[in-house]
Amino acid sequence: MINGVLIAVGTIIVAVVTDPPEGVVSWIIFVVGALLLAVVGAGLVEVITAFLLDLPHERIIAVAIVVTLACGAAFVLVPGIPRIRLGGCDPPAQVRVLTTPELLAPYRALAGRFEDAEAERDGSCRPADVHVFALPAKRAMAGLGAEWSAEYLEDGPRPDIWLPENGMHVETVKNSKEMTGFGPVMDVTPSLGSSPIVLAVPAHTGIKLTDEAWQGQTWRTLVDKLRAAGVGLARPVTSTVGELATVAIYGSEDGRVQLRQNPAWAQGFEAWVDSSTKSGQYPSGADVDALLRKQRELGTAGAALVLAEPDLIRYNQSVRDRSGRGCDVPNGPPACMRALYPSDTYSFDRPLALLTWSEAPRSASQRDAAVAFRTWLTSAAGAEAAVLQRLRPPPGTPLQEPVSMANGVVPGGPPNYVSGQASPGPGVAEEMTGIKDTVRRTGRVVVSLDASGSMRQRVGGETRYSLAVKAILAEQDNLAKRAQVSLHVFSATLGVLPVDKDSIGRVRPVGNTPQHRAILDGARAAGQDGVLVLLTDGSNNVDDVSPQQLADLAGARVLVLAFGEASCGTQVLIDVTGHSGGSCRQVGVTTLQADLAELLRSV
Amino acid sequence: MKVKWSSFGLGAVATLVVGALVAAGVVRPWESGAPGLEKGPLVIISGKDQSNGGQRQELVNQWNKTHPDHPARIEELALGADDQYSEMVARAQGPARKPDIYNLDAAWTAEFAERDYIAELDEPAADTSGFMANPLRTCWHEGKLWALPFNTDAGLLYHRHPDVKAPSTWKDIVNETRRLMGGPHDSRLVAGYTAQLADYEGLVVNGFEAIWDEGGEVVDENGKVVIDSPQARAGLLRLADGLRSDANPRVIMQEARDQDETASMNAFAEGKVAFMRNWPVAYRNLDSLTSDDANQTAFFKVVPLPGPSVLGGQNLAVSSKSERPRAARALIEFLTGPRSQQILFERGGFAATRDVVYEDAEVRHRRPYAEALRDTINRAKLRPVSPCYVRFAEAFRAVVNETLNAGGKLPSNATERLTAALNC
Repeated sequence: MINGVLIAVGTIIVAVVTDPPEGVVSWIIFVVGALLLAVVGAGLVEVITAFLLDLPHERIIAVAIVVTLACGAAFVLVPGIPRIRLGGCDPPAQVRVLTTPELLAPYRALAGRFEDAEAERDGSCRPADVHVFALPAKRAMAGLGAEWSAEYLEDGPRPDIWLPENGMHVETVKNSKEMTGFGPVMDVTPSLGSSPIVLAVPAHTGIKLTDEAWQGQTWRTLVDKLRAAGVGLARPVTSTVGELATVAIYGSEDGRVQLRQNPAWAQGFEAWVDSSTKSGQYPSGADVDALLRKQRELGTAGAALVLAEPDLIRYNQSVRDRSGRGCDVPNGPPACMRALYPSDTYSFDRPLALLTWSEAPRSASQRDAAVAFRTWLTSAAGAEAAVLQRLRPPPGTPLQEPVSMANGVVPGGPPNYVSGQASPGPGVAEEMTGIKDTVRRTGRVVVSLDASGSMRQRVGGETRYSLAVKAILAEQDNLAKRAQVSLHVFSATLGVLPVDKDSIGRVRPVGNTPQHRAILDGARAAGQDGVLVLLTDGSNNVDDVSPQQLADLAGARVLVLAFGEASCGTQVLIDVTGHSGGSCRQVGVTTLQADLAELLRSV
Repeated sequence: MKVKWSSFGLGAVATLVVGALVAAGVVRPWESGAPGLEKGPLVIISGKDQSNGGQRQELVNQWNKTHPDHPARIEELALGADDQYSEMVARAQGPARKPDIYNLDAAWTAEFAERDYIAELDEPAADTSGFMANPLRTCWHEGKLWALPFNTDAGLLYHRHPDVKAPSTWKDIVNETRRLMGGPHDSRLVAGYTAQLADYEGLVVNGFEAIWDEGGEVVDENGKVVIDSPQARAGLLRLADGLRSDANPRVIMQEARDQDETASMNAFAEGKVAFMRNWPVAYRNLDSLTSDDANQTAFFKVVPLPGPSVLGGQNLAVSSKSERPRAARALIEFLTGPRSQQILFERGGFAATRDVVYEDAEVRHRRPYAEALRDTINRAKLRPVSPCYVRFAEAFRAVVNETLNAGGKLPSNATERLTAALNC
């Protein structure tokens, strides 16, 4: 009987701990069942005991020991036995790699080379499938610091490897993890090779690649010489290259100490860059690709640009004609640019961080594949493949095409001319960016929000309009520190209506979309040195302002946040943002706040 | 052997009673939830919901109201198909808890089935009646049912209206382009037609459709690559010819090679072309150009493509590692049921996978293209059903790009490259 009681008690404990009954009825049934189990158990134990007493005990014990040992051996040894493939390949292990838009194309190509190399080694099976995707550096760092929460999964997969442009970004995430405890564990390879940020001067200026009067000078000297020569300067504001160049230029020749006391030099510099940007109609706040597209359009009328060396090579390759003439010769393609290497410039030192997430562990094969990719990137084969993608390898790997004089760069440039560190020291970037934000205060900013009928469309529990209002209100205080801010809403029913931060949330979106009218009135209200920020979910469907009237618009910069059915590819938005030196950002409704903050960085 | 038969008898009777109780436990009549479904949360992993008003989430909210013991949530991934695929495969391979349901691109179902990432659906128990045949076909692999179709998709031909005649063949498009460009026309009009020919999945889709319309095939029903045929060559040649910069008239706008769905839609909206191939989602966006609120006559109309369309869409499948497979399956059946399908199409704009929805008067009113879409879906063809589809698509894109760059000349090793990719 004692056996039956033990069985019943054991069963009850397990049941209550793992799946307790719910409700009175189920408890009654449960207790009755337990009692019956005790009785059944007692009966069965007696039957089994009586049966076993008649069996040959020694044989049974011997068989049991052999079976147990065999099972143990199998448990230990089987994982180590290679799997036999019957005519197919195991699925390749998935590796997710995060980088920045500027490095997306080269790293994709490198991932493809790695997959081919691994397949060749493994006898045509591909052991790894490397997916490379890109996010702007700021967004990537925020996602890593937030454990790649649901918000960031909507931007891209949770990365196994992070390939940022500069070690400064890795340090930022490390520091954030130390302070907050959030973020992945990072196993960092400090550099896969270092490509400097260069001053790209148009070939028509006559400056040669070997001109010692220009090469190896400080950023400040180069800026002064450019101004004296009447050559303008444009830079990609919202990218890492723009940020690092600004920090380098401000900090050049002890500028850090100087600007702390008097930011007048920075003010003059920014005004000069602004006038260059406007006269060349370069899109302000644009990324590198947009800047280079404009440069190509401008041809010999282009200004000097701040670029990472691989982007300059890519650009020159695209403008070199079929005759094969290089950018280093006097009769080379007129749209070519040539690299000047400032002595105190920073570089893309391309660190690699292998990430481990406590909440989302990897399988052994995924981990092995990620490590294999890292090993390949740091190998001689990876370094040689990087050169083909215009990236400088670590010292010791010979340089070859396309890193050549014919493509407007000096293969021995960095060791000969650059003497500074790859990254700014701790706190320098923040301090210099703060000075830039102070000196770039804008006169007046008009934020104009689409209040047409389509803004009533719901996304989750809220309307597009209410999400946009939230985004505006969240950014308004920050913006007000830098400029005088006015708010407008527009629809065919409301017209273009000034509102304030209390009334904007009470507006009911209705009617068609007088987008052209909103741009015209908003830009006029912002004035000559002002900025119009337009948030819209559609296209113009009210014909009261012609595209020509918008083309004639002068003065304010126009920045556009396009979401929903709106598109930055609309001709009018391309024209008006390009013409005014503004920019357009295509975004999703759910990330409006982060995207508006990003757009307003250039204000 | 001495046995107390009285206690054995009692034990046997008690065993029967316990067995009955266990059976009762499986049924669990005292539970508030649906019978037989495992309790606990369900996770659906899916690309971003692009429907009007987030209709997928609305349906999940409805499920949660009626199934409080099986609450579901959608974990949304990035919009790009490549990003979605990478995250889903990584989750399926990793040791962490798996999602319960994958919302898979129809082209990935075979691969996920082949690799045991998803569980076979018990076909006799699954009610597949009422689904359109084509979308349902994408849920089968190796004679087994692996998923149910959540939404489907097929390309439509958009044409400006009333100035442009509705075409029914590619020749009609060429002739109408000649007529429009030959006479006095709006200066904005630069070519007859545009489509998604940038280097991404859109190029795969348009490449297949051009080849099919000429009667060619890329992979035959035996899984053999047959792209090197006169018909398939003719399909790619017509794209290359249409794109020629010295063509008169210029049938396909040259910028099409940089265009995706949005860029081609903008070109059409701005009057740069008279015809466009695009998905039904463009209808909603173009319609809003006419008016935000009022039901004004749109500046365009849609007709079925001249040839078969590629069948797009997404399928819902239960993860093979789900801890709640019965509940997950019940949720899939709810989401693919006739009522859910009607809501997704009527309110959200997702093309329904059930025939009956297209008969509904309200649906026809709110989605005027419903009939053309149903025709196109019924005539649509599948991209190669293969566990190596993703690699195959990459190789096919490269082949099409090279063909277009070479003025329509197919690379001599095209068959070899595509065969290698199709076999991973």
